[in-house]
Amino acid sequence: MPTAKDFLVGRTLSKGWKVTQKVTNPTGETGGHFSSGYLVESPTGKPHFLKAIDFEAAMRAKDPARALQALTEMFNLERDILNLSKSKRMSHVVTVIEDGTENVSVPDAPGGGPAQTVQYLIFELAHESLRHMVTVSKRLPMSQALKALHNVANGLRQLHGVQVAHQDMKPSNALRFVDGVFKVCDVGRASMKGRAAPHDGLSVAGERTYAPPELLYGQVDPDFVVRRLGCDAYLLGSLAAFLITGLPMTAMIIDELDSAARPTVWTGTYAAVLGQVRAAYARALDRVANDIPTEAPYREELLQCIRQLCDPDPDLRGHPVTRATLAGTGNVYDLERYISIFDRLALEAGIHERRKASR
Amino acid sequence: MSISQPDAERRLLPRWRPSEATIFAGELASASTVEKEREPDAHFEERKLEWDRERSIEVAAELVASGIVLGRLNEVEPAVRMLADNASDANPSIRAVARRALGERAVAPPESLGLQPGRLDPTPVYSHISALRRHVHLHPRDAYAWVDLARLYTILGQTPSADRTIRVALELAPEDRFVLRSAARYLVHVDDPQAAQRLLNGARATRVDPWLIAAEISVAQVAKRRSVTASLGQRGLDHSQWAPRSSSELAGALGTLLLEDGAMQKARQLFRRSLEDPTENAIAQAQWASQQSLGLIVPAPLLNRPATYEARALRARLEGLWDAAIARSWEWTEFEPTSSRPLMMGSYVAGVVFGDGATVLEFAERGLYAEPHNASLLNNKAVGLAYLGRVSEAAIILAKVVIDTSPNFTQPALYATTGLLAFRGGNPVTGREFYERAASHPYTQRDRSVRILALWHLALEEARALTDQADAAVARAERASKDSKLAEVAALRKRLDEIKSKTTAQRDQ
Repeated sequence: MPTAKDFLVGRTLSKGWKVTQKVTNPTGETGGHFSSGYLVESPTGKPHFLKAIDFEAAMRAKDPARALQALTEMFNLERDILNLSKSKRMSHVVTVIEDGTENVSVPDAPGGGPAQTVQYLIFELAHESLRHMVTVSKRLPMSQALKALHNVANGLRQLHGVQVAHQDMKPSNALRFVDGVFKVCDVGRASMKGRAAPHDGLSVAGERTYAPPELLYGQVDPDFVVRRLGCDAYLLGSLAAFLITGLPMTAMIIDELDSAARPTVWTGTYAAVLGQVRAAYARALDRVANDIPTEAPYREELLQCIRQLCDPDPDLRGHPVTRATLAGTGNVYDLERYISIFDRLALEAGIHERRKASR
Repeated sequence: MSISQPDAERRLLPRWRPSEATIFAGELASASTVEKEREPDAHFEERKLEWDRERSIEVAAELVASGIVLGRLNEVEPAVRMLADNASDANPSIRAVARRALGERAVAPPESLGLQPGRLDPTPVYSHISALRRHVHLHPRDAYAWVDLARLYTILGQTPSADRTIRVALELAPEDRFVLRSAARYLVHVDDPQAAQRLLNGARATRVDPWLIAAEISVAQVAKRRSVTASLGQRGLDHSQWAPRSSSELAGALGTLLLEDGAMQKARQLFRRSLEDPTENAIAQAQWASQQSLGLIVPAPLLNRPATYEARALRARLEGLWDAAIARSWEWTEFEPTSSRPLMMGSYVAGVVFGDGATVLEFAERGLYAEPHNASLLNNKAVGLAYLGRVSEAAIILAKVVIDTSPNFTQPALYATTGLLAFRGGNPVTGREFYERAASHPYTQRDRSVRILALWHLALEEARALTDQADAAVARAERASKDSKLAEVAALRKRLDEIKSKTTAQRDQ
């Protein structure tokens, strides 16, 4: 059944934004099953991206009261995180321009119905997402891929700096803007330390296809750092693997696992299956290595980064020096070292690509 | 008897196979009978809708990745086919994934070291070691690779290297079933079953895992200690807590424990239970148990299952199919190259049944590669050399063994071999004395066949040496083996006839 958010196209919102087009394959994000994306124009004619939240859809859920509460909490958390990132001037997190509500009447609602409220967020408009830049047949030049990794790591670290874990860092949630900068978007599945979120009870907050293996096997550490920042570190490594192979690390690991040891089948503990996961991980890493040219100057260091970031054991994940330095005192998954490494490797890859092209 | 009897006591110790082969055999699956419920996944449903709208390779790749992670590949077959198609633009990695999903994955065959019957050629083992060392250099936290490496070192008898590598694996995965079972097997191999039991009892996983409980019960038996987990295992079996496949070795291990205690009926029930969905190891254990007056018969179809080399070797010996017993022993050697048991079986049959010194030597030397101090194998090597007429070399080999400190069950054979060397060295009086010691050893009270074999071998040597006591020795051996079902007796009579006709021919010349 159509709801208010389906009748936004052609409408000028009360704050002067003109909704021009519904986006089915957005270069923004939809961020869930209760939202839609639109292209909008500012009063000055500049294009932006609008994310509309469908509270009406929650009313059709099995338990509307709970669904509505969850959606409201999720929206408020997302809005607060985005406003926080804006106020902290986070350079690699997508900037929210405005948020508001709009009353929209639904023409074919039974009895004409009262106007429904649409809550929205308006963002700067991205050029494209990593998901669409990396095609299965054509990979991103490694200088670009490493720049994306550098920028995404920066965005995640900026969020971590305010105790926010993204938890859904996948290719479609890394957006490239016209100035070539990549930013992290869709904080709809994020968690903020000390603040409850409706998805807190789920072992996997983001999309399972990308999730770290410990969460798929149901090993949920009560510690915010291990469970949530550790998840982000894995997702960054998985993104690197995706940029090289076209597949997320999780899918590669599970593909290498015996069917009886896969998370959808395994009923034992994570500790009991970790040996098998690690053996599968080694084979998955070999696949990644096979897809990096042997002569590439960044090869070994990039593989090392992926190996550390995607370690199936969250207690061993991340940069070993950072782990040793910050153990027991802070975020052992601090991405600072990776930001430096990806930055340097992007430069080296650029030089390598230019030399190759000039030959 | 000169050759050590194989498998006087068999324990259901874990097989030490390569990790891939162990996984392939289904021995690392969840033990529980509980099935996991499928969770709905809204992202996956969204992706399927997207695929319906846009049949592109990019969408297919994402959908297939989701299908792999969520265990729902069967729902996305058209997308898999698109990626697997040679004409598609999919890169080789993704195409390989898709082909695997379509079942075109070349199922990794259980690792073959390319070992041939006869003397061990270490070259292929060294090349596997090199490959694994490269692997652990790249993936130092892959505990399974470290275990596999330790296994290869063990095959070559390089115990210090094996020891180091198995300890690395234990550091990395101290609660992992494969690592724990392999390490326990290794510790038994190096004659430290007490450490194996400590290791298993120190792991939390042993409290809940029937595979580890089975291993603990068996290593406790080898260590001649009380099992800590046997009652836990029995309770788990009583409550059908585990899938039949997962509890197969546990039932077999408990059955062996009860068999040792003389509780035949309960033991028989447990062995039958172990055969509901058995591992090849459980089948071998049941076949061994069936030879212990238990009234248990292992159904023939179970013996035709893959990799049941040991069970088939045991059955062939029982039925007196000697050529088959030797052939199965070689297959079993390749299947389990860290174990001396197939080599003891092969050398036993070659020596006792055929008096074939060369084959005895091949089996024994192969076994001594991995276990250079194994008393039974040293004994068998000495026998092989003696049969080939190399008596002084045989004496040097046998001198490496101190009979009194050797395991009880090996002592009759060691006495008998000393007697054999004395006969072959032209000293029948001493030879007779040692054969008598073998025949009257306390162990023969427990196993009548040992006495029968000792007396038959004495008779053979008396006949071969043309002593005046030959006929009496043969008559005594015949009396001792009256009503015995030991298949070897017929073969020994045949050997006696051959010796008699040969000596008659020599006398006539």
